[in-house]
Amino acid sequence: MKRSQFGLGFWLLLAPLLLWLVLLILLPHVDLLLISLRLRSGPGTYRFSLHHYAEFFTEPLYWRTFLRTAIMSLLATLLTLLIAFPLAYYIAKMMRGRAKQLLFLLCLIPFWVSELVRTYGWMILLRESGVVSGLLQWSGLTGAPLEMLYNDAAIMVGLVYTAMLFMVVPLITTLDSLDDSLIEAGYDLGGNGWNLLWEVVVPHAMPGIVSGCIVVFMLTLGNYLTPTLLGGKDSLWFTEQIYTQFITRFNWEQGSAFGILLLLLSSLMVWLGLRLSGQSFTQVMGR
Amino acid sequence: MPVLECASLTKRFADFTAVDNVSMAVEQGSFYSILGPSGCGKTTLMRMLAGFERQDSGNIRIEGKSMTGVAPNRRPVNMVFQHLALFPNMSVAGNIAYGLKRRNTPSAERERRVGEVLERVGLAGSGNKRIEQLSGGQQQRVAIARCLVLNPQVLLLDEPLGALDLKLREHMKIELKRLQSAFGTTFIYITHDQSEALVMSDRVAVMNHGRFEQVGSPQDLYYRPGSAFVAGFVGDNNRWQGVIEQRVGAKVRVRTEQGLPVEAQAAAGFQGGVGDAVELFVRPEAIRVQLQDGGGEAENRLQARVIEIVFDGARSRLQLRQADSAQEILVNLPHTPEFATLGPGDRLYLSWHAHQCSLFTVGAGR
Repeated sequence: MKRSQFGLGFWLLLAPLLLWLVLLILLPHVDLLLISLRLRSGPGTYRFSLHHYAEFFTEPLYWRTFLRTAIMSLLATLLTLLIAFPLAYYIAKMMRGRAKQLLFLLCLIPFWVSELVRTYGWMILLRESGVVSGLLQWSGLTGAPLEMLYNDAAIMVGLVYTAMLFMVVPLITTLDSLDDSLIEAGYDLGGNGWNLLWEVVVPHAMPGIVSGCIVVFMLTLGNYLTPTLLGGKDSLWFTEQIYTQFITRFNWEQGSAFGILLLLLSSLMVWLGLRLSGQSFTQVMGR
Repeated sequence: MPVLECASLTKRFADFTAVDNVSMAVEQGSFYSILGPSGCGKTTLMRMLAGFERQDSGNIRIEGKSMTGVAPNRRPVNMVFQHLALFPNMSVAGNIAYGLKRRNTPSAERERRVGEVLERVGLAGSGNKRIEQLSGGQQQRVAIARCLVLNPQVLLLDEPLGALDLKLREHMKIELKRLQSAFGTTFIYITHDQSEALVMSDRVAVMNHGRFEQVGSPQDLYYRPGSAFVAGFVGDNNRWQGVIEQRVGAKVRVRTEQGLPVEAQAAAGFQGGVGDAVELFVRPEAIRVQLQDGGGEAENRLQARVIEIVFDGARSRLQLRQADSAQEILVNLPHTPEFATLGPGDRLYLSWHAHQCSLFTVGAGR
């Protein structure tokens, strides 16, 4: 008798995943969509309406914040990639044995503490009475205390720092699998460092690059803590708008519409990233 | 003038000398093999020729120009890597055009030359295929074409047939030799497979412990091994330890450890005298096997019994033991009908000439 591959054991093992996906991911999003599409017409009565989406496009603060968040996230992703790539290349290709493992571990260590603590760390460094300001005054480069928090640069520093690990790990994995002899073959055939990087190393690392970029972009776009703490009131991050709608203004409908829009944006960017780099989702996420 | 010359090339890694004072000269248009067991330093030697390793001392000259301090991408040599190292993200034509692009060859000429070389290696029309669509042998030819399209002075090949299966390897041996003579390029070929070296090469250097043991034609290495290592490494051999009992000019009688007396002929320059410990080599294929005593003028004639028949098709072997001395002897199993019923315990008559033995004093040389 041929036993089915999908027996009771299969379903039992799958159950936690299914429950998690359906109850915590699928249902909330469906609910979010439904709430975003209704308009209060009277006490306790609602009707279908696209009002909250129209509101987003007509109120400049909303879509400008949205756009700003998207552009800042893209920039943060790009910066993370630019910083992480040489680092990952160095660890994966230049180091051997124990030194390699040690460096890899050093990348991981900051992530043993929570994001909140790490962000506070940056605040200690960057605030008016902080370490950097103190050093600058001590060395005589500035006369007065210098406030380095609560601007876009501070947000960017925090975002890149938070996201670094998620870029470094897939990059090291893909670069590690690059055969050294490919690089040597390129040199042997007359290539130099620059065109080898573009014609051999980057194409090979592409799945890792795309995978890292997708994860970093999504994390950054949906980040609430870092922009709020390092950017202060003026950070104008879209997640703050959602928070405000839900918590401060108790306008769940508007908040839901924002949530759906943010989801659409990140899905769109992932799709675009995959299309532009010619990678498939399963291949990239398998890294 | 040789196209490539090395003088006293040495490379050390920490406390290990990988290449030890190697000198070589490779003639233009020849197929030169470096044959040695793994770890003998042959790959290090090749990487120094390609420019990936810097020699600690000595000199490499290509066409008379010193290569010291010349980067790999500026040397007139190209290398076919052990695992080919074809760029997986490029098409066949892209791989071959890579080197031409680096030289800023105009695209029209580039296309013409890529097409030309593809045709010459028998892959015309495969330019747009991806690398993984090709078979192992075809990939091999792409890897070679990728180098040959650049018209290198010397093509270095680092055991490129190692990853292929036996049948394909046999085929590629002939193919490589054909390509080499068609292009007229000098090939320097590294291998641990003596058959590859013997089949393809004009000259073979046998390498061991970072040194060249012997450099010569394949026939030289096979018939006139210059050292015990070469005799043991190139081809199969009966290898017997013994002591010289008598020496008259070139005629030497050796008694093996098991007590078998063997008449051998000393090669020119053989220094051993009576009482010296020697190693004696006789090729299994050099021993004549007969069912009856056929007489003849061979200096070594003896009787032995079959212990075991090691069947391996055309390379089948008989393991024999001589009655008086218990000396074990390995000979080729003749595939003529009279030997078809041979079994363990049967008696055979063996004979071989003194000049078919190779003799080396133990501990002399390296």
